[in-house]
Amino acid sequence: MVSVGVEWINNFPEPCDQPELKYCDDTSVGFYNGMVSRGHSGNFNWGNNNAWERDFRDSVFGGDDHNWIDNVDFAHFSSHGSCSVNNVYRGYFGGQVDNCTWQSDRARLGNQNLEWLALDTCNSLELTRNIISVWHNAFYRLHMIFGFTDLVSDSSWTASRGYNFGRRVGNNDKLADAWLDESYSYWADDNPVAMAAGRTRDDAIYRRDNERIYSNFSDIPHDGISWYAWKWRS
Amino acid sequence: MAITFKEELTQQVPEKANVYRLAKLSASTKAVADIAKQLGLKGKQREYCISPDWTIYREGPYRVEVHKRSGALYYNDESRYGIQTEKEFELDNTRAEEIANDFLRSANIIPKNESKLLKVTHLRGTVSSVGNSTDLRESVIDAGVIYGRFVDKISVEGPGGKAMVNIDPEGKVVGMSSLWRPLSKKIGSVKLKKRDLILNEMRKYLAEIKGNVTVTKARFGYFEFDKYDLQTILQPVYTFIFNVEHEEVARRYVKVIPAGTKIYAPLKERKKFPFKQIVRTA
Repeated sequence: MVSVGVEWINNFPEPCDQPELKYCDDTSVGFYNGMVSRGHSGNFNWGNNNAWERDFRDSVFGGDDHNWIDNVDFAHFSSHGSCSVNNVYRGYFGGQVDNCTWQSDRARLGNQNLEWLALDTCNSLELTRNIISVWHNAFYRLHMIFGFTDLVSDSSWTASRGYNFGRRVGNNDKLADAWLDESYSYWADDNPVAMAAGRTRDDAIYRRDNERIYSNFSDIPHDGISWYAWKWRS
Repeated sequence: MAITFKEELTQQVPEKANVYRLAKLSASTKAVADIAKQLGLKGKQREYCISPDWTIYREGPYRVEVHKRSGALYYNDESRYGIQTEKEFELDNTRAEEIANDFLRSANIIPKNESKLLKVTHLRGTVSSVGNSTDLRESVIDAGVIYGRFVDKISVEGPGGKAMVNIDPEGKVVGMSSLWRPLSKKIGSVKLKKRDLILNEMRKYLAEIKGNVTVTKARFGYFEFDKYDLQTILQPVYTFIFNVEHEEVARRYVKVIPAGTKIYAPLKERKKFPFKQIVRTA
């Protein structure tokens, strides 16, 4: 059984003002429900001003991720996202606890527990940036990240991708297939990307193409990761 | 704030369009076994997994899943689908399309007179070392040939009304997915709202949005929902897909407006997983 935690934000009041979103609850809570419906354990589900940046920031940087995001096996985050030309990803929060944005260079994911992270935001695996530079320093035994290149739709008509992904993950489907199949939209131009870390080139490709929640692939310490493999449809 | 249309709404909107009732679906084990046979499997195994929403059939490495509410279909060969091999992908788009057409003709899963090629996509894989992350080695893993649905020569917009056939570097079909609710019968015909009226309505809606708006798709067509959503009526709509940029963030949104002067079934943008938050304390 896999433990699940989700955080999502639709409302962005001052001082974290951003354009409002409508369906981040559906994508993240849908994922949570999809996993729980397949017998997995839902550990937390924090939305809007209950979703905190501190939950994602590693304790080395003064955060509390060891009690939240890094204390479950699979985490899912839905909100605004961006990736700077300096190769730093930002996830946006609606309340300032402690900051309005979480940054990829403030993360060390997996040094407690986390194995898989889905970032249902724009630019979370942005292929026009150097995604290894963006994410390598966050991979501390984390196995895979699931994200989007370019923008992604916030719409009732596409929001069930969260539930559909959770259902398939919970059924022990191949993770990358589940993410790419369920999140790709020709109609809405949503382009998901799945990325895995590996000890070698072949190991990274094998993990990317084959990992499931019950694969029991070994954790790779940060300094043991030499390669990354990712895939997407275009 | 600026509003830009990268795609103009077609001038060719008819005066009227038909409205259809969609057929009731079956995802019984027999119905799924029949689909498996159409896909070239034996359909005689006894390994089914039945959940409240899906019926799943397995035969060796092959898996066929049918969604009970929408009839959405997944078929794949798990030993090959999405897996990068050493073989280089050399099929051009024309050959990929031929293979996909042959497969669909033989399987007879979607009506040929309703389908039209939309795009040949590719599943792409890249691998790179940490020490030299600018040295990207890209491979093509499959060709995903996407078909769109047309009813009365009008395109079907939305997440539904699409099918994809996946072809690996050996030229083998390793997967197929479709969301293509069958028609039952015509139940009426509606007069359509004029294009200019809809554009005015849309411009007013967009003007209220904070940020710079770029409309990337502006379409008239029928509208088919995603697989999770129950749909009984197929009716015409206008759809707009647009990006909003505001300071450092951007996002994509969708607006669907019924096109008929009479609405047969409401197009509600509903929450699928309503959730009441408790108060969290530090």
